[in-house]
Amino acid sequence: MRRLAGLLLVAVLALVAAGCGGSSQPAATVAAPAAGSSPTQVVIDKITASSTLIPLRKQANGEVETPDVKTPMQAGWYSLGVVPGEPGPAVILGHVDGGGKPGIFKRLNEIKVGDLTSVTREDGKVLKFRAYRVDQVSKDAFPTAKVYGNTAGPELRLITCGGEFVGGDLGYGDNIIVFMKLET
Amino acid sequence: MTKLTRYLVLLAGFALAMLMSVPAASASEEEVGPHTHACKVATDKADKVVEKIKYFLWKLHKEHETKLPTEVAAVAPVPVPTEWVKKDWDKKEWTEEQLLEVLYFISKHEKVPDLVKKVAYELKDALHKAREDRWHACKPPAQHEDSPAEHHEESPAEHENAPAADNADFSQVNDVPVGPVDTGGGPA
Repeated sequence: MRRLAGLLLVAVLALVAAGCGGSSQPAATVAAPAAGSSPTQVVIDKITASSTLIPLRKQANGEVETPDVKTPMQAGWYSLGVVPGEPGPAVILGHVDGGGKPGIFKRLNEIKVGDLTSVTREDGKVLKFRAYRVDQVSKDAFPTAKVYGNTAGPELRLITCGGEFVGGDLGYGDNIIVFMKLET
Repeated sequence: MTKLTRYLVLLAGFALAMLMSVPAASASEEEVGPHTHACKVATDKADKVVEKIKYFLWKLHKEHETKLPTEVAAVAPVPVPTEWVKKDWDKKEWTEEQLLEVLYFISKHEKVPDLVKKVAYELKDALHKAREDRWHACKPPAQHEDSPAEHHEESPAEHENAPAADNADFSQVNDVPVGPVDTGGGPA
């Protein structure tokens, strides 16, 4: 009996050690948003911007969807990403203009470090995010890692277009990106 | 052989098996680093692409009067034509980012001839790829192992302005989009 127990001990040790040192761990999986936690509204008092949020996905070419340009005052949340308030970079997009009219993020370039944004979720939570960085980047050098890369805590990105309007496929030459962290 | 001895032998065998199962550093990991042959090759390749681009811009400048609409020159994000006019165009210290920006601008502008657009686009892609290859070949091996502990050692001030490294992990996002965000229909 004692011999059997000893062999079992060895087997258990083997299993434990294999779990610590194996090289074929499965890729990290991302949990689906909890029901009722999707964001419903964004408010930025500093630039008098307020909009409900529609879920956005990816286009066939891999680029992120944007709200219909004919309704430029509508903002959207990238729903294949992070839920605002959860660890990671949640992304909210809005047009700078469209259909000959100003867009919801027309004045996003006025946001400064320290400014606040409120995001309301379906579950009733109202989250405050504070800006810690504002970038204007060429679309050719879009910082995917900085925007979508993992973060230590809950963060938010507000993105719109900026720079010169050059038309064609390019539209505006730049993107304006506001990096924010959840206020605790 | 006592029971204890048998267990010890089993454990030793198990430990040996575990050691053998730990993957050795892959060849690619051993071959990366700022002073390796792979880094030198990748750097030379990127430099050659840069030279090609400079030559393309120079040729474009030479034919600018007839081939490149003046509107392009007028709204270019960097002072392209005036710089090209200089005799020492090839001595100018263009950054790779500036070259990418110019190429992207040319490749997307509706008034640029299609052939010029195509070449600009291909050169832009070539430089992107060469830069990426160089980055992988020349980065210090330690960058593979950017542990969470290392992140915690960042000073708060550093972290405030550093969202995520270029080799960031994307596991918090289900499906990462590519490219920039197109959020502008044009001014009123």
